[in-house]
Amino acid sequence: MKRILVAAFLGAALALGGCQTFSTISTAFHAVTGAKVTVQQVSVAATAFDGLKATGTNYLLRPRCSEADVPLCSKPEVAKAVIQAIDAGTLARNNLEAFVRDHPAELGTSGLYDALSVSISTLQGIFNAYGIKGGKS
Amino acid sequence: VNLTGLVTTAVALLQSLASVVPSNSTFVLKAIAFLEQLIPLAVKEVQDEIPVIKDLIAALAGKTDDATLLSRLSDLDAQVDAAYEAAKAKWADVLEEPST
Repeated sequence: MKRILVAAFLGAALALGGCQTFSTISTAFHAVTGAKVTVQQVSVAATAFDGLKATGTNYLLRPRCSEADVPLCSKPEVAKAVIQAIDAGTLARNNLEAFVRDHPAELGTSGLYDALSVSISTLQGIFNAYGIKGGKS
Repeated sequence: VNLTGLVTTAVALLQSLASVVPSNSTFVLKAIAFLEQLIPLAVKEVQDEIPVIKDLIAALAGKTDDATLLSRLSDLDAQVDAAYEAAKAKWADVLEEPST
């Protein structure tokens, strides 16, 4: 239950903060430099992605704009873009986490980390372009 | 309730404790979870504290072993992934449409 709350609060943080929070995350995320990354850095990046994924999930849970006359609804073309970006990011996140799990004595490679970074930037771009702030209803 | 004061005081208190708390203690994980829950309040009430909270989480994460961090991350991934897959299923018809 606590973990659900943590995920929910992270999503809520992104929802409340909107673009500014995305920007904050992006700044922290891209502060990582060098050819190798640590487990701590992987953890921060993956947690940031999970927060964005929770925000994207909230967008997908809204009623479709064609079916409901409500202020917050989902457009099919946007939902499709969100899903494609999240799927790509999830693959990148899983690959990065799998590497650090399978190579406990080594540092993660920046290539895998960069793939997750690109996915985070893509999702941020979609959310900013369409004003998605994570509201559920 | 003065939420700004509450957030600032809680962060200052944890900053003081972070330097003396033993590595890999239960307190470290509880403190990280608390700080994550504090973020929504900070975003809303006192945004200057956000980088401080981020740095504090990073400092506490440094006191946790890699296995614990990865285990915690795996649990978070599972929760987020399950919710996403359920929401994504609603859009199956849209995903089947050819891209224009």
